[in-house]
Order: sequence, then structure tokens, then C-alpha cells
Amino acid sequence: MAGRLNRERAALIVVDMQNAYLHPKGSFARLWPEAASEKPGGIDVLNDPVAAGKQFDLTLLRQAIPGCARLIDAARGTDVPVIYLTYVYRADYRDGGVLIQDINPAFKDVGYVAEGTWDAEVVDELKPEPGDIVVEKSRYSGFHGSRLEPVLRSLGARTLVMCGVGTHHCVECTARDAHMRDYRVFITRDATGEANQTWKEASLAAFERGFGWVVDVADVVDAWAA
Amino acid sequence: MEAKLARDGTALIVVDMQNAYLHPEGSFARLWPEAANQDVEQIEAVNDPIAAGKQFDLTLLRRAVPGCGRLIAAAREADVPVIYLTYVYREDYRDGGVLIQEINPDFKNVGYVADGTWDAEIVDELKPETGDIVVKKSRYSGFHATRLETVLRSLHAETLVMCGVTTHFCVECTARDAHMRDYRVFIASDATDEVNEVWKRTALASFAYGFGWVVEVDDIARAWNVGTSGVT
Repeated sequence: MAGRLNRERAALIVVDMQNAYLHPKGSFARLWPEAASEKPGGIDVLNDPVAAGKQFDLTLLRQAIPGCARLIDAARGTDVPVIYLTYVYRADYRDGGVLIQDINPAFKDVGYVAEGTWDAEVVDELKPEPGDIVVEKSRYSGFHGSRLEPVLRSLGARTLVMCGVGTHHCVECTARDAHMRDYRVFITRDATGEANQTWKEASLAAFERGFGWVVDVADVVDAWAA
Repeated sequence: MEAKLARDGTALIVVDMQNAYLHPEGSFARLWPEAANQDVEQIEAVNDPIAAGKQFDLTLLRRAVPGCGRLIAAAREADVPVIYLTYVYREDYRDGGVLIQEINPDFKNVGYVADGTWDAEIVDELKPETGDIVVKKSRYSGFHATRLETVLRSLHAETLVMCGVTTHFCVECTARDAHMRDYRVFIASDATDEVNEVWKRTALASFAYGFGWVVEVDDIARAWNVGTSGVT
């Protein structure tokens, strides 16, 4: 299993590390200002799933940044392709579908990931460099209506190392789709974050059971250096 | 939200209610015999997400059978199309991919959901009837390389009510794909189940947060303007 984790036919996928989710002035922080300063553990997420569904702690998401940076450095240093996924919508949200129209209409009011704006940009700490590949998407999964699969096939990638936010949403949607397309998928526990810890842990535990493998950044760095 | 849950333009999707997962002699029970006879109350009492993430109790899955039965009866009464998804592989598992080849090779040894066998059949309690639609799949999501979307478009379905097993795996994979295709998706919390409580609760909580709606069988029956007393 660990033997599969080498740089042969591998690609790194960095999911949605954008100002919208991670920056204190991003659209999520503006939409849920109390979430930017929320302390983890304030809600009994296990016994009250309704409260857990409302808990939203942006500081947990920011914990993914250093791990992503280490993975990106390691990938560039070992010629593993770096693929950034970014979530974007048209500024008029005519591509917003059920999520914008029915579930979270408030996203429109804060300019959530409007294409071409600062909100949709990758955070300063992790800016793409020449040679990296950026794939835009408008749904949770990087495979849905995007050019990700032509890119992966052209690269000959069979093994995907994934990092980014949020673990249970865009990371997991993309990872599930990759699994069903028979890529070997490794999620890096210390380079992904979710708005509450229970969702993250449940997501990773179930992922390991039936979708792929969960590893640490150090495992990936070592395997690629070998 | 309640208003979207109507009978027009709606289909019911019953996910993987097969002997493999639910029957005491199914392939899952034969693969993990110790998981087929656990104390449900004890399992329900564990709240630590790390410990619970390692729980694996097949008896929990059977809790979904009565709710699915009530939903199927309600759908038939309300003329809402009933679509069964079933998980199948070729008997030689050449279509097994990474899951069979690398993650769970043991599945091959117990004839897991081999196409045409009893293991892949829907449980006796919920057998499809004439007019129901059965869509086979070989991956978690009902949308992956199947005719599900062709069927849904032909039915003019825009709202999907979902039930079945397991909540965090095939139900959620299918529900997420449906959401991303802009169907309105309602999961019936009392007609779906998972091998551990925390996975089920987190799946439903996060689903309600960003993918769709979580309701109960009675909410659906009310919206469809039918009773659910016929089957219990």
C-alpha cells in the first residue's frame, strides 16, 4: 500500500485553497463573521447534529495551509505535477444551480468566488507558479463539468495525492469521484481542513475504509524523495 | 423548502437494499461475521468519533428496511416512480477496479454482489414490482457509468427522494452527484442507515448544510398526500 505512494504517475491536487474560504476578509468570513473567531469545541457536535451542521470555524480551515505548502514544494522539487482546483461562479450566478438558487442564496450577496475577483484567487501563501495547472470548477467535485480528467489522462496520472479544503465537501467529492474512476487516492490528513473536526474525522475514517488511503504530509514527502 | 417536496417531478431512489448488505447470510455478514451480531444499543452509545469511525455493525443497516418499505408503498400509491439501484460486479470481477483489486480484495472470496446471484438481489421485504425501474451500477454512485440520468430525464424528475444503504457510501455518493447535477435531493433519515452512528449523523448533518435536505418518511408521505400505514 505504502509502496503505491511514489512519484511515478502521481499528481498533487490542491483543492479550493482560495481567499473565499481562508482569508479573514473572504466571502465566507463576511457571510459568517462570528465563524472567523469561533473557538473549536463550543458545540457538542456529536450529540447535536443540527448544531454541528451550523458550526463553522474558519480557523480550522486555515490549519491546512502549511501542509499544502510543504506538499506543493515537495511536488515541484520531484517533478510531480501540481494541479490547483478553484471553485468559481459567473458574477451573475446563472451557473449557480440548486446550491445558489435554493440552498444558499446568501452566497450571491457576498460575491462568493465570483470568477476573476480576489475572492476566487488562491491565497497568497500558495500561489500557483508557471508549470502548475489550474482547473476551475463550479460544483464541489473537481471532475464535474471540468477539464480535470483530460489533464490527468494526458499526464498519465494513476495516483492522486490530495490536500485542501473542506475535507468533507470539495476534497471528498473530488476524491470519491477519483476513486470511482479507479485512481489510487491518498488524502493528507495534516494538509486538509474542515469547518468542524467531527466532519473531518468521520470523512477520513470512512474514506480509509472504502475509498482510498489517508496519510500524513511527511509520508508523501518521504515517498516522493525516495 | 417544504414546498419543493411535492409529488410532481419527483422520483424515489432506493439504494442498494440487497442481500449482500442486509441479509444475515449475505456476503458482508460472511466476510465480517463478528459485525453481524453486535449489540445495537451499545453501538449507539459510543460517541467518540475516532472509536466510532472504526465501528462496523451490519445490524444497524437493517434499521433502514421498514422506512424503505413505507416509502416505496407511498411512492406507488402516489404514482411517484420507484427506482432501485443495485450494486453488481461481474463474477470474475474484471470490472472491480481499485476497490476490488487493491482496497478490499477479500470481496472476491465471498462472491460479493456477483451479477445474477442471490447476494446481489434486493431483499425479500422490498422486492421490485412491475413498473418499478432497476438500475445496476458497479461503483458507489448511481450516476457513475449507468443509465440513471437517462431514466431521470425521461421521467422529467427534478426532485429526488432517497433512501437505502449505506448513508455515507452509496447513498451519499449518489446524492452528491445528484446535487451537482442540480436535482433537489431529499434524504429520508429514517429510511437510510450506516455501519456506524457517527458516519450516519455527520453525513446527514453536512448533507443538510450544503447538498440538500434531510427529512423523515412521514414528511414525504404528507407531501405526497398519501398514508404510510399500508406497510410497516
